[in-house]
Amino acid sequence: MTLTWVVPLALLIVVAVVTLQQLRRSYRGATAVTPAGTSLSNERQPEARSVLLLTRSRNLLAVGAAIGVGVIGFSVSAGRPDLYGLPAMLTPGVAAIAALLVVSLVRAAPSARRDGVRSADLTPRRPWSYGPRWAFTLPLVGAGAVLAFAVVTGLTSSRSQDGHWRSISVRPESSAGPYPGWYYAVPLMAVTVLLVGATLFALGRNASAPRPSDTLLDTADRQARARTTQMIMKLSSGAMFSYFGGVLFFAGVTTRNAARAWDPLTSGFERLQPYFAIGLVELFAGLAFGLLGLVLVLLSVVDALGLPPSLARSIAPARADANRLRR
Amino acid sequence: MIVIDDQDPTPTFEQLRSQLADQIRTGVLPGATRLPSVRQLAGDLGLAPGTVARAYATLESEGLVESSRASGTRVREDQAVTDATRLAARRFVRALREQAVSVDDAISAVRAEWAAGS
Repeated sequence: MTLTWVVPLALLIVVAVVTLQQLRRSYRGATAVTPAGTSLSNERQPEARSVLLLTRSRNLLAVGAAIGVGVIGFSVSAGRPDLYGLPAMLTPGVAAIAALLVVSLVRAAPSARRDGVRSADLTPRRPWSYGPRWAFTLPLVGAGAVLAFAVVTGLTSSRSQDGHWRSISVRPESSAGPYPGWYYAVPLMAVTVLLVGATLFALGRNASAPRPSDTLLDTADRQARARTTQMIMKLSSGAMFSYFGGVLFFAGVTTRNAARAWDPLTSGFERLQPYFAIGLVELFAGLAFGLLGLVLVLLSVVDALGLPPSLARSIAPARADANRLRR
Repeated sequence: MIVIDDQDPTPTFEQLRSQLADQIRTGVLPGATRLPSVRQLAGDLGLAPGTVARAYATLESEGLVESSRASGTRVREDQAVTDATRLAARRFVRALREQAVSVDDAISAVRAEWAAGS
């Protein structure tokens, strides 16, 4: 039993350390000293600042939307015990979808100038242009794992006393719940499919959004898109792994409970194998996946609120000037 | 790279079409190169999507690009002029530059001679 609490505690400490490290790195990037020759001229500073301000505002709005949906989801779950925790289980996925929709639909680049001289690169920008190929498989692997596990738990579930498919019976006289049977699995699969769609939509919008009209902002623009792509992938995968971990954890607890029966002959609990072992494996795997999901979600927030280093460097002189004027 | 200049009296559609055609004919955009989507190019240049779509359609009717739903708009193979043509053009340009002839006058002279069939 002690191990049940030591493992999550150790993992939580790891999560906290990783998040703090990332935040420190992001802060250092944002306040980096400007190397000679990398700053933008004064006339281009407003556009650079505008890109930064719009990107940060949009990301803040996305984080706010996710938190808002999260609060509503968990409140509904607490207020409706007759739904047996279904809204709470769906909340991470729905919150991630809300954040991705904000990232997709709120414009984060200033409108292209419609007068004077403007230029465009002829290289097509694709949804996967701003990250390593392997990173794009992460949400797909997460979605595949969720869908496969939802089908498995659906098929192994049984009806509870209220008629919902949310129990598991390992033998006729021993059943336990809440088990992620069809009652939870079907909405979970629907949310997962929607989340994959929202992820693809957000990646496409990020790639196809207009470039700044000034070619000197190309590097900053590329970095801002790469940062947004990272944020989208981490948020999407993190949300999936979070609720996959939660489902796995509850499946494990329930399976383990269903596999334990009081034996009056030995005055102890009889463990029905292999169900008891499967339950334990699910329980610990659920904790690991849940924490992995949490780490990814926190890292996506760090990405959302941090600055791409080149953009930070390019506007650093303007900040220094503003500080000098203030003094 | 495509550059649109609003001070240029040439319509933006023609600026876009001619720059793309030149880049295809001179081999800067080789065969099978995929062009950006209409939406991307229109957004980057601050043009109406219809302007870019019309330029792509004109290039397609000229046989320089081919479009399909699956693979977008791609440069057709073997559209670049030969090395011998480029070399002849280079000699022609060098000769006219020595006489301080402007590019418009040079093109007019080529058109006139071409029409005369000499």
